[in-house]
Amino acid sequence: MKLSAVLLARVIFFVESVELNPRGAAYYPDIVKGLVERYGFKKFPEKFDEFDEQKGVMLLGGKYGDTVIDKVIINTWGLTFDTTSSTRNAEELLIDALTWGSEHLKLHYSPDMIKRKAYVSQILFYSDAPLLSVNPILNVVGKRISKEVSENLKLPYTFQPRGVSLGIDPEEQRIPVQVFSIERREGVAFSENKYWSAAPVSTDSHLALIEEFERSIQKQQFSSGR
Amino acid sequence: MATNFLIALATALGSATFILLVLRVVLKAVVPNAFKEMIAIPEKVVERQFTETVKTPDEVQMRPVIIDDATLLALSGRQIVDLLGNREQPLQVIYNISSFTPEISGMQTTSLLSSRWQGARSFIVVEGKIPKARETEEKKALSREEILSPPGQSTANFGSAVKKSVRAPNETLCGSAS
Repeated sequence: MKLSAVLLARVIFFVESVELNPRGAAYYPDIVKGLVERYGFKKFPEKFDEFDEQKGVMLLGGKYGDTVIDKVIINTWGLTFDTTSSTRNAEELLIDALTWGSEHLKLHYSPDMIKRKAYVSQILFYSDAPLLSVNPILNVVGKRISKEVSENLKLPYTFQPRGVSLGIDPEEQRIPVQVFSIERREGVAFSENKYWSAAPVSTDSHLALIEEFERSIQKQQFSSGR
Repeated sequence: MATNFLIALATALGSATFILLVLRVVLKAVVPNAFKEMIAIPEKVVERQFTETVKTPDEVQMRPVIIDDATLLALSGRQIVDLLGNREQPLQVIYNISSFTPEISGMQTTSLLSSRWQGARSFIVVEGKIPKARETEEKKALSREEILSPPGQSTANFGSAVKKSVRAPNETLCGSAS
């Protein structure tokens, strides 16, 4: 597996925003001003009606050290922090921002306030392993579909697996969660072996999962070939 | 016989009128405002009729903005947006055909002016609507579900956004996942 790009490394801290300002000591415009000065956000709320946590108070295009901060969203129910480096970076920066905010912006933060957190990781990668040939039945079905469609359209078509995904039963869903998936990259020839993958785990875990998946597929191919 | 009948009728009417007059005088004395209601009724009718014709501010703003082509061309994009009040508002543009027909050939003019218009008008009115979709998209906030479980493949950075069915000739043929 060769990583092509980290498209999204998002960390979400579930904390009610009012808990960060329990006594109303912090003034929202001052918080935004402080964050803009520290992280150099290029787009941030300026008008009063943009400070609406129900819709999400959004700061875009910041930077800290070598990490670009794509987006920060403050909602009533939590904080979202997006980078395109790794969720580890995103999490470290978010904790750093909260700690700094509690020291300089009259915010209230302690690590135990964050009871739940979530990750969204989206990556692009190349792999020479036949990642999507997880079951021989897919080839059988693909051949039958290809035959009929090619006859109907008088053009040669070959249907192949496009993706695999794992998700949760909607009946069990209490908090929405990113589906784990490995898909062919949209609009790219299958021969280029380029894939897009999403996972509800940290970037490091995501990369490890893809590598493990790749090894398992190669092992399966090797054992079926013998 | 007839005379007696007329006398009786006159007496009856006179008595009734007299009784009504007495009642009015008594009521005026006892309840001075009793007859003001009589005056208020027509006013109320007029007021109600007027209220029915008055439209709410929204309705008033949804009336088409009528503008001629020369004025429209002179306006900047921002001025047009201001004119329409950022709403999905109907717009009527009155084109003065005589002002641009010299620029086009006789055949084009004939095509432009269909037979029912020829010689009848020198103005045409084009009705349109400025959509507010773009502004709505820009201001659209991410929902909780979109944050926690973003949809599909997309690359916002460097302008290389990838959309579903990017090579599909037609979504009718290929369908689209929702």
